[in-house]
Amino acid sequence: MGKIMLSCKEAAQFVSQELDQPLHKGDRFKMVLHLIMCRVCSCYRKQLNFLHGILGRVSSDFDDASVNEGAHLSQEAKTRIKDRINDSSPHH
Amino acid sequence: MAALVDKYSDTLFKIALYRVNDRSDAEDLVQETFIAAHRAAESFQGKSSEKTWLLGILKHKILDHYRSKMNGIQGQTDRFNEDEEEFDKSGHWKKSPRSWHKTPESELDQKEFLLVLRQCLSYLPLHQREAFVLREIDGFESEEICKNNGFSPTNLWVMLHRARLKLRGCLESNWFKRS
Repeated sequence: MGKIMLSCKEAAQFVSQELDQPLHKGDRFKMVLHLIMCRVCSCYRKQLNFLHGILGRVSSDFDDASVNEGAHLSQEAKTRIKDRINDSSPHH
Repeated sequence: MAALVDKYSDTLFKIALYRVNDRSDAEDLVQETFIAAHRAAESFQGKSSEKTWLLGILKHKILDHYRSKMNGIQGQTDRFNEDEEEFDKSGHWKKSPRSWHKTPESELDQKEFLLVLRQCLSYLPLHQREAFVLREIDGFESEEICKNNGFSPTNLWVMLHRARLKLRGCLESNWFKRS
């Protein structure tokens, strides 16, 4: 099972990993034990949960808040795309 | 479909360009998106808006795009327990995270927050940024990202872990500290 007490560095790995995959029981136990005793890692977990919570809901705003505001497709590129669409039609 | 190209191609192009940072690749992705949409047009039932539908297709195309781009960097992917600049040799935080005193709702109202978020994301290495955006913003499941890009779950977890550590620090310095 390895050592019971995790360092902050190890605990932070589990805090992140639990957002993507359920932890093994033993790992979760060790993480929770660390979090009970460590206010800093507990704060880190709250921060990641906060980000995880808002980011899934900002998807469209995130896309619209474009840093490529001036970027656009050339007319030639649009024509090329339309031609490719026609080429890909079943009757062609 | 030609009308949709006129209406949405610039929007899709901007998003694709931000995500892949290459005009030619972005143009290809937009083209592939419209071709896929054209082929699937009959299955579009109007439950979502046309823009949402096209964006969904584009995001899957971006996911596919990174399959080829990211295959080459798997060997370089960091491992857990390699040095992380946020921790000292004993595994303690060098700079402790502080309470942000924020609620998700209050942040969502602020467009400026998204700009800071994008800026912070731009500081991440490309593979970490993409893993993070695919997972946290596009909302793909870990299994789907791994399957598409050929990552092991551990590869992905490490990338996400590193991305979150750096992003958290950047947001704390550039947003939460000042607001």
